Amino acid sequence: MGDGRINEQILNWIKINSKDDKIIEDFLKDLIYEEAEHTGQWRWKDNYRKKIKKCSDEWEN
Amino acid sequence: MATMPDRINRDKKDGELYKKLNGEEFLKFKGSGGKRTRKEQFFFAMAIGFKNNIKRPLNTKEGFFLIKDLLPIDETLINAVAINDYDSVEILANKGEVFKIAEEYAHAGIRLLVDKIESIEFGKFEKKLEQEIFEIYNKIGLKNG
Amino acid sequence: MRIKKIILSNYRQFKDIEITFTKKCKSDLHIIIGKNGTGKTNILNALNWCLYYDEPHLSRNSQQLPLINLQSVDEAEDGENKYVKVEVWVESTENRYFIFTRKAFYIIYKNGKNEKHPKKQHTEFEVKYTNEKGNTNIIQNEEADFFVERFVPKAIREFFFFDGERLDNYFKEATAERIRHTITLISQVDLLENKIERRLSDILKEFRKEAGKENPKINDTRINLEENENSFASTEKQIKECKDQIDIAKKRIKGYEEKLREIPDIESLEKELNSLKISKKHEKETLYNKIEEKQDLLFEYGKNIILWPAIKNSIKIIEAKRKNKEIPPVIDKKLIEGILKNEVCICGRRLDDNSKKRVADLLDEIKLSSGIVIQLVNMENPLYLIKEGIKEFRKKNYNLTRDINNYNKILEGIEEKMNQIDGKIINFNSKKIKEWYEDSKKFGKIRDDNQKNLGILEERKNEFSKNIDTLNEQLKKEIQKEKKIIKIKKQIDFCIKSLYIVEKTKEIIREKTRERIESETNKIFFKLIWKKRTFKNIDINQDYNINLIHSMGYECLGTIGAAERELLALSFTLALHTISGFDSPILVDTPVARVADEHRENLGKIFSKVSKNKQIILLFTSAEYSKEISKLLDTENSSRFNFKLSENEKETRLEMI
Repeated sequence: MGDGRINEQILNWIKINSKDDKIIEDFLKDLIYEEAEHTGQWRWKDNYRKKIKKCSDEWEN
Repeated sequence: MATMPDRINRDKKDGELYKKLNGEEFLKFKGSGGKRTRKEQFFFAMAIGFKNNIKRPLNTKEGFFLIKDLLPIDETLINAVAINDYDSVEILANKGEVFKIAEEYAHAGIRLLVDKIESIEFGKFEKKLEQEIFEIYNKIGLKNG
Repeated sequence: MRIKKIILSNYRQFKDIEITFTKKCKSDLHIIIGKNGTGKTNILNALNWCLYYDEPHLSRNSQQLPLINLQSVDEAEDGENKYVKVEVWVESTENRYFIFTRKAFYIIYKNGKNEKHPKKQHTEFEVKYTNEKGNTNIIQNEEADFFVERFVPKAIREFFFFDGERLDNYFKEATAERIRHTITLISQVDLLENKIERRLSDILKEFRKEAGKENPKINDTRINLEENENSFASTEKQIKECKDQIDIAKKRIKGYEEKLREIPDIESLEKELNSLKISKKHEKETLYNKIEEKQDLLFEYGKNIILWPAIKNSIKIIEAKRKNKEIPPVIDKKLIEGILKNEVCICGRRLDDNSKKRVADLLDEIKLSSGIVIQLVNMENPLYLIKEGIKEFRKKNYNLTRDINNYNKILEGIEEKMNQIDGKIINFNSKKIKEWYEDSKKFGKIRDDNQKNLGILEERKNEFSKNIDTLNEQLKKEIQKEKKIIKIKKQIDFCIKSLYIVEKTKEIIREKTRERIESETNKIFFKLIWKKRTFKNIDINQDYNINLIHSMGYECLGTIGAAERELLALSFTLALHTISGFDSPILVDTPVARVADEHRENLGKIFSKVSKNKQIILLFTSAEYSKEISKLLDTENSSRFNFKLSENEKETRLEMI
């Protein structure tokens, strides 16, 4: 139990709650995996900003 | 056709995760004796990634097992996953891409598989997995005979 | 899983003891009785020290003392090495063993005043595990922690190893926050809440700051919004602290008495016992073979079942291509391409215009390259085999499961017969019954009455929440108007939507966990409660407040007795075990201390009932193990021990009763 773990339930509900917004769905799943892969200190801010910039450019609200 | 790769890769960081599979006897040992091979563990991880419809590109690749160790049934499964993903049989013309799809499903799936193991006490993983498989099986609706 | 034994060497009062918890009857219930100060609570601490390297229940007295047993220090020479060891042997449902061992190494030094002092050197931790075939592995340090997490995860250990006071206090007022926290833990949404949500919020703030730089009006609104958000968070924290006040129990006084029991030695049963042992070995081997067969079935077919959508799709495609006569390949596409390119037929003749057109038309008809077609043809048979295999999966699995269950039943029968014979063989000496009366200690603290405070804080929180909604809308409109920041606006909207989805996901998962826990708590509580008609149901509402509803329809959690309250807490605890996926044993220190005598029997019955399906180890004070409890539990336990302090008070010894 604790940080660094992802489970199928979370991925499933992200998909359902994204309601066909594939860009946000993939963005969040990507973040989930990045966080799980980087436990401890890491340069998350740059990583997040890059992804947000890339995804929001393609995204339609 | 693109150059035929000679091995299936995994992400270097997945090494620690595959080690954790060894903490669960069902995924470490064969019932009939001996240890489960890397190939067998890879296929299981791939299935879990496929089930959750999630692939992850590999960051630092390392060879995991050789293509020549794939049996016809293994290659069939990898091809089927690739055809399903690409939505066309044309993908089979690019074996490199076919294996890449399998590798990416496995890279995403191994983390989910490790979570499944860590979320349940020793001795109960198999039973839980059996329940989940039956849930899927009942939806398939394939009848015997 | 169950604890088979605990071995303590030089751990606090315990110089050298081994407590074995053998399941001898249907109840896997074990009792340890000891006067205050004999080290009962330190069994709880020993378990925590071994598994998690801390001692959360250390008394003030014990905190002043070194970890290492004082008797051992006294006996040591100057400069001698000594070690503290706690070993916990755990067995799982398939006769696999895990031995968790922690050792702390000391050197004993004599000072100028001839006093001996222990100096800690280092600590080691390892896990030995043995599978059902008897193969042993040794794992150390960080990797060993992984095994601890699969026995009882540290985050939820308080639901497995706890003080009875917890049972009494858990549902006294203002526990919604505690229940919410517990449910969050079990839901495993930590990553979403502690990382993603927080980090996305931080970045959103930064984006808004950047937008604010373009327009001072936006900046003002943004600052105002942030201030309200901070005040909201701080008010929430104060509310949490308010709700966390706990009232502690009451006095009790009691003694206990014990019954004499003699069981005669019966020698002739030894022969029968040996014959049963041989039968057991044979049936076990057959059982393991079946288990192994099922494991292989599950592994092989399981992955194919999971991949069925892809397999089905491929079968469909290949069948369609067969129907369209694209398979098998009648004409090699590459050959035709070569002919067209070179303008020479296979017979060697040059192609005229008519022939070229005919060959080009033929090429158009061939949609697939022969390479792909060959692969598809090669896939046909394996796909067919996989499909047929999947069809047979249910029947094969059913047969193997049935066989395994049958063999398990046979083994259970053999085990029961062996236990009965065991019980008859062992001699029990009769003991004198002692009656004790001890004044119970008053402990606990009085709960602050924060209801008035709570009301004011809740109102304040609502106000901040309304402000935040208004300011968010305002900010959105201001940003929309500002043309210079279209890109940042899009990023802000993207973050807001992402945060919304994360929050929603977290809440749904938490909500589903809440529902499951509520349902399971109800199931367990109503199975165990002795007043079947008094209560209607247990409600854990969406604000995580728990309520026990009387059959007449009113909430009665505040007015029920300690025994019902402890039962509710125990039911909740057991529900958590089920939902969390960890069904490990329970160890409770002073389980009924706060319960009035007449209700102790009821709780005793509960523990006895629960112990039919789960190992329970209870640590009673002598006073707590009253007549009412002992009357019931003396005959219902698998083992009972007594702790006795040595005359010099530096060592506790174990006596089996």
